[in-house]
Amino acid sequence: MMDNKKSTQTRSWFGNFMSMMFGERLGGKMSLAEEEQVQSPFRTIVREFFRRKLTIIGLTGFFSVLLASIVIPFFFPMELTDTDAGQANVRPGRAMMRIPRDIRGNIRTMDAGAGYGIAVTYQGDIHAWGVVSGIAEPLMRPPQTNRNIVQVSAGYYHALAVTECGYVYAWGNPNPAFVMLDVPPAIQGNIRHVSAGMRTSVAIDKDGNLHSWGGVELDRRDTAAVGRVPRTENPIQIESNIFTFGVLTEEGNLYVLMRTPRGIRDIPDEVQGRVVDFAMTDHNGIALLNDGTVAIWGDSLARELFDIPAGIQGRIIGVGAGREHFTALLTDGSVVSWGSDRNGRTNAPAITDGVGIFVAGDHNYVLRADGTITTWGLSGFIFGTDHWGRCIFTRMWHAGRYSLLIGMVAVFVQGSIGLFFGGMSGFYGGKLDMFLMRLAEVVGSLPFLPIALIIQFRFRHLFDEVQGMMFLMFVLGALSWPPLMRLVRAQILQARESEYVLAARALGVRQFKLIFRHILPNVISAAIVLLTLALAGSMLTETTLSFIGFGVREPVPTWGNMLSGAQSSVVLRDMWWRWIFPAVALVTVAISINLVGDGLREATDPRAQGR
Amino acid sequence: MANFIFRRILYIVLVLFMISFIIFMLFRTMPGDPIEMFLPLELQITMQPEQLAAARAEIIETMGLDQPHVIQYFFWLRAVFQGNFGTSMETRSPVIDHVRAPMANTIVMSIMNMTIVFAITIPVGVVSAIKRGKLFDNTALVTSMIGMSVPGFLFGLIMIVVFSIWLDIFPMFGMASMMPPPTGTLAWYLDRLRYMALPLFSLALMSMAGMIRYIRSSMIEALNMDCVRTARAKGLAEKTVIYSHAFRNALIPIVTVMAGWFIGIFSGSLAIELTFQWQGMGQIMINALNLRDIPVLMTMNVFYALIAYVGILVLDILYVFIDPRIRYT
Repeated sequence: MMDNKKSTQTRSWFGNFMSMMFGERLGGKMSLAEEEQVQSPFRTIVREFFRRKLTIIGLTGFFSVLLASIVIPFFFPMELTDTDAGQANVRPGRAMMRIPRDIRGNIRTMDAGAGYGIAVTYQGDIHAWGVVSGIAEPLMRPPQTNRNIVQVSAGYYHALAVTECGYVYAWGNPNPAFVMLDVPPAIQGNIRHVSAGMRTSVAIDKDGNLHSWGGVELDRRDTAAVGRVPRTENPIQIESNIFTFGVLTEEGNLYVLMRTPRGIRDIPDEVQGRVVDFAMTDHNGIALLNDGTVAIWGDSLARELFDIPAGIQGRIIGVGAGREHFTALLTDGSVVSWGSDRNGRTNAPAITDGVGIFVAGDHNYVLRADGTITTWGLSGFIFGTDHWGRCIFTRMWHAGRYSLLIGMVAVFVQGSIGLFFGGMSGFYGGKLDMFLMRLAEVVGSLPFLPIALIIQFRFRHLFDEVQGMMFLMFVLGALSWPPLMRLVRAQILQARESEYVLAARALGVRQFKLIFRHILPNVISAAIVLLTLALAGSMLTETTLSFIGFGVREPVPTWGNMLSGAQSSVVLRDMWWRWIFPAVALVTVAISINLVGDGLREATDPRAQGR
Repeated sequence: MANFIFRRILYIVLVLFMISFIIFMLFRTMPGDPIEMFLPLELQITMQPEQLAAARAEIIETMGLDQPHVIQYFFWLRAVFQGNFGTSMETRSPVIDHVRAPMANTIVMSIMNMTIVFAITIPVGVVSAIKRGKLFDNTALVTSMIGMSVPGFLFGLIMIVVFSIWLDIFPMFGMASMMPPPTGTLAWYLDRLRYMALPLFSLALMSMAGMIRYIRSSMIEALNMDCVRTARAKGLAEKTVIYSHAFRNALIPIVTVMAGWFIGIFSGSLAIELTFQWQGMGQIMINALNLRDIPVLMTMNVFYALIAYVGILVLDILYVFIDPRIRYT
């Protein structure tokens, strides 16, 4: 113990810092005698703390998640109420627009769907790419055919391809409830154009008649609405959105089929007879007229869609629509997108050789003169999406922010109450001590979770989301202070009797200074250890409460309520991304905090070395 | 000793009155129509307006809702002393009957859980303390650290994924097979056990982590005691030293933790029961909260408080048996 042979190396502050950071003990461990001479207790604590590898790991883990939770939300802002049913439960990946390498430059025609795309090569092969959710998985396995495919259409759960001789291939979700894959045999061999919608399909045969199939029981009578197009006109193009189909006739008239929300039905009369191309978002439509201008109609709430970029009117040769944006191809081969700019769907590239555009969902493809394809828009979600179509990556870091904040404030509340009561109790003693100890006993022995639930149940309807969160922090803190209070009290009692306080008192140190300079530092180190471990505890409690549904309420994300989606076997089995990511983040943080707390305990309590 | 117990009991009774009063007030001051709170929904819908008015009057009459809250509390208290805890709004049966089966489930599960946890943690904790710093100890420490950092319900989810989805050994959710129900007594018990396995494992894993660390550190403390050194110096066998000298001294903190647990037995594990849809007290509590089943909530919470304080009293008494030095006056 008392070997003083090793001389204390004098090191630069940098060396000291490095050794502190990485626990690398250049000068070897100091002997006890040395330590007492040259180091203040605080330095010993810091030194001991950084000496352990596990502590460093914990510290790194905690601060990296903390930093990520602070920084990432700035770059990935989140609208609490922003949902998108069309992107629900999308598996992780950024391959939504990744066209297979071997067919680049060899694409005869293609179509874009939500999250995926299909293309036909000049050899007649159909290729599919993208990221789709479980039930639409068969979309990725198009039929192998070398017949001459002239047109493809990508719907939401199924896709269609027409051969030159009028035969229709259908593939996709084989659910027998939706008979969308059952092309009526009578029309096979006689089709020239198809369109795949949500669950229904509409086709034009070679005589200019419309046919439809698919849909659930309720939709089926709507498929009869193909009769809405006058028999005298000759349909040439069909487009679909999530609700309906639009039909363009050779005469330049537009018709909307089926039940639809109001906006999109109201095609302005003045465009009729002049339409050459059209497209539909969920609630709006765009028609390209024969003079190169466009007309937009539909839901007037989607203001950005009506802001046609300046200078393009009169120069448009093709239009496309995603779910909430429009894209237009101009006479000079350039492309323009406008509408809501979420997921980068309106960031059109500056090109001058576009010959065709394909737009769906949040994806844009432009076919260029050299046969290559350029894309912009949503390429996928790295961590997938949840059942409301919200990006898990974004939500997870925002959740981290909330979870960490709740944990820290709860610990702050707990620490304030514990220190205050403990201090009062230990310092003044007597009746007050008696009362506070009894109070601690009563609060401390209440079953924590049931009482927290009752309190949340009784009061949370009084608050909105943010206030509710603050209330939760307070509840967590207010129920968990007794252990800290007892610890502080015991420490103060011990310190009050100790010789150094006696000495200080004998020297005439004032009461105030006695508390803050002599007693508090001794108490605080033990309290900090407890509070660090309590931080992990508070976060886990918050998570559990939110998981049960009595913590932070839904639109505000926390790791707990993100995990509560995993209470179903379907999610557990097939949608691993919905619970693995928040779970990993949560466990990482909890382990890190516990490691740091453990390190702190060992560093502050010399008797606890290796315990 | 008798004096001490008597004073403690008086104190418990006092605290219980206070707590039940607070909880009672929490619920009674809750905004809401008594009809909505005390009449099942299907009756509310089917009743005619005049019937509803009559029902309201009857509820107000029988529950004494027109009286001040404090008086209502004493009504409730009187009913409780007569053994009437009210009627569950979920099943329309007395609260006692409503709670009986889940309580039995929870108690059975908790006893099994305790058995498993002590059977594993005590040897592991003791060996860990003896082999301090060795591989075994470090493994136990790191594992228990991870265990402490994973919330119970997450253990449950992981269990479901591993044992129900990947390996397909245990059922995912529920209490017992429905189709077909097991035949014969033995099959019935085995079936129950199969459904209990996963929640039980999760619960055990959750409780084990902290326990191992606790036993280890109190054992280390005990091993450093002078009496242990003396015992060794006397030339006692190491086994005797550890188990009859050190371990007995380590028992006090262990028993303290055990008591905390005992209190938890009756409240079950809310999150784990919810994850496995297992019918225990936790599930009852969540259902009661969701349905605003206030008589059940009231009874359960007061009961929990009672158990908690009685648990502490029992603990204080137990200390005397464990450590003869402790005396109460």
